Amino acid sequence: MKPVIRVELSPEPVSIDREAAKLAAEASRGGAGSLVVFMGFVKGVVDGRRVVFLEYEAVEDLAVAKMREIAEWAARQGMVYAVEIIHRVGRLAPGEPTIYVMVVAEPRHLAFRLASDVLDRVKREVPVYKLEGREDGEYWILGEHERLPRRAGGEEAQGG
Amino acid sequence: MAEGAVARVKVRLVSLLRDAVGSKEVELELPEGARLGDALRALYASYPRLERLVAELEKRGLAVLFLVNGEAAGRERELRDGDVLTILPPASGG
Repeated sequence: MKPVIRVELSPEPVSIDREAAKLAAEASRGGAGSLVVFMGFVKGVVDGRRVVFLEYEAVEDLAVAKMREIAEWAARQGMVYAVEIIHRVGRLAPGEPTIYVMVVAEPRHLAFRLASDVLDRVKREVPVYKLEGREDGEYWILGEHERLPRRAGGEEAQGG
Repeated sequence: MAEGAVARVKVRLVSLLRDAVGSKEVELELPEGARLGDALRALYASYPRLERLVAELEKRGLAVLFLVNGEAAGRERELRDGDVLTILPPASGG
């Protein structure tokens, strides 16, 4: 069975139930029995401050191409039946899903490991960017942790 | 080569770089055979705030990546008419 690969930027959330049921139904025919889902969601508090929104922006063609490259890499790592990466774009509220990674693989420890590895690679390599809107202002997020305050007129903070 | 041949290069920006310039796309007109370094000089001449921001990011260890037609490129890369230059800060997806 050729692995199912699905990568997508989505302004809307997806139904994990529906997606997982579909993948399991297909993959079970090939003898698979393990599906792992990672779902990220918007934090409501960061650094003790209330988060109002998280806005995701992608360089679409490059982001989709890179997600596909990562999914195809994962699919080559063993008995992998499906890899799906769905990244939300747009303005999201606390609690809303941000990214879904779904892996169907045997044995189950491979599915767990690949879901984690795929997520790590997406965070490092896919050109998607966050703007964090908090009660104390808006912050551009760069890399895993760096925050630069967004000033009026787009000017950024100088120095530390 | 025709005299005065021009390379029109589209520059794509995202995140705080887009915010600094006020647009996600900018078009540059360069002499045919111009290199990426020349394109950046022209871009920064029009958008000095962008240059300051890129320098600030580099100082913080957040160097941007330059892609030409989707592939990483250095300042010596020669540009052709229709090329797309994308300037990417360190990603923050996921």
